[in-house]
Amino acid sequence: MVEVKFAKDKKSLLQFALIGLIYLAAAVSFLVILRPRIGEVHRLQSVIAQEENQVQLMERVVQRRSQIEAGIKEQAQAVKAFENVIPTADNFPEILAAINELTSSYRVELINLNYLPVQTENLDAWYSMSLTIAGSYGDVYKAIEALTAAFPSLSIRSLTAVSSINEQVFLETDFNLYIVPVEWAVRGSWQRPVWQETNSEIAGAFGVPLQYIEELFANSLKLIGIVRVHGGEHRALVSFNGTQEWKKIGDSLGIGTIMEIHESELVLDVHGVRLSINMGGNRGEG
Amino acid sequence: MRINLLPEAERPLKQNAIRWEFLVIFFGLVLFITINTYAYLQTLTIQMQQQKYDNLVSYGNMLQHQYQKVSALQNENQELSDKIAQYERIVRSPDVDTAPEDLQQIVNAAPERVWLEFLELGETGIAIAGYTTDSSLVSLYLQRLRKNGFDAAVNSLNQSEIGASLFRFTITSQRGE
Repeated sequence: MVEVKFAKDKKSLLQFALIGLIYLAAAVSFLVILRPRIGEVHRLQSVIAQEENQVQLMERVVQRRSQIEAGIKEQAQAVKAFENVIPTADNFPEILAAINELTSSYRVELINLNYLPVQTENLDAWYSMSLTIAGSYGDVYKAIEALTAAFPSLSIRSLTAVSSINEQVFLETDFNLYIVPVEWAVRGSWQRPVWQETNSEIAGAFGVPLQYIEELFANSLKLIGIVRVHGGEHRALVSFNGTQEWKKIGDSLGIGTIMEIHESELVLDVHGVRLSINMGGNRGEG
Repeated sequence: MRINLLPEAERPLKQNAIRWEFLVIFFGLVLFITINTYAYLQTLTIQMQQQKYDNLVSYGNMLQHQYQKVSALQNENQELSDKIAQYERIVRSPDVDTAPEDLQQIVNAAPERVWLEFLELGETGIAIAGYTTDSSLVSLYLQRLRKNGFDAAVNSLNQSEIGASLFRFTITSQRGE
């Protein structure tokens, strides 16, 4: 009876041991084999996603290569076009020579051309310059227009035109001539301007300074008498600068020219300003 | 009639009865096999993923070379853009800077029998001085200046000392919007 019971207990123990072993093996398989593999799969998925993103990014960049190359070509042309007209510091002697040439090409007199050494601020580099030229208004205007057209990086700070006697205009301008930054300068890129004279006439409204007209009358200009000579022409006796002289049409009188002589008045033209002088006195008139 | 005199625990099982031990062992075995099968599948997946990763890395290395070239091109492009921006900035803008065209517009606007003596275009504004034989022509000149986009006003208008018919004037002006 005791033997039977022992045998039964042994069988139950074996059963439990087998069950325990199976579940232990399952647990060990899960912990030692499956779980690290799941982790590895997740790690690989993560690094693959990361690598794919990087590859996609590179692909997108690489795909734009032709577009970037076309952009470079286009921009290089634009830069070259700018550098053809914007001088470098090395070109400064040529710039001065070009300005001198400009004045002779446009028949203007170069009164002065001053400049300061090159100034820089961040990327900006420029010469601060001043130029004074004289000539007829049309010529000085055409010269300054040609100068600004030839130097698009020229920034005018001030422009002053003053009329002078003999219908001359003095034009003074202060300007900054911006140049290619020193670190970008490419030797030989700037094209020296070729001045092309235009034949177009530009009329100006600059007259002789009023001060000269006033001086003319301040010098005791007086019409003393008028006579008619043979042929019907008039002669005028004029007192000017303390002397008396007979004058006819076309004669000069101070800075003016006698245009008309009537019975009791004389018409004087002072560079376009017509002044009427009455017998015994004077007055201005258009 | 047959009577089983064995105690209930000693009696044999019915034919359709299943021992609990069998069920527990069966479930344990199924679990063990499932875990290991799944682990094997994961091993295959790892191999595939590893292969995919290696391919990607290899492709990426190949792209890297091209990418560096394109990056260099992008840098070159950026440098050119910076140059263009700088050049555009220093090139004169007729809307902002004083231009000879302004001088010509002011001169052209002067009516006949108005003579200019002095004209200054500066950063602070425009100053005009001249004279005329008819003071009403100064008003006409102002109208023409305004028509050309200059905000102009007479600063002074005086009769010349030489007679009643010459008037000296000064005008101040600003380039309008």
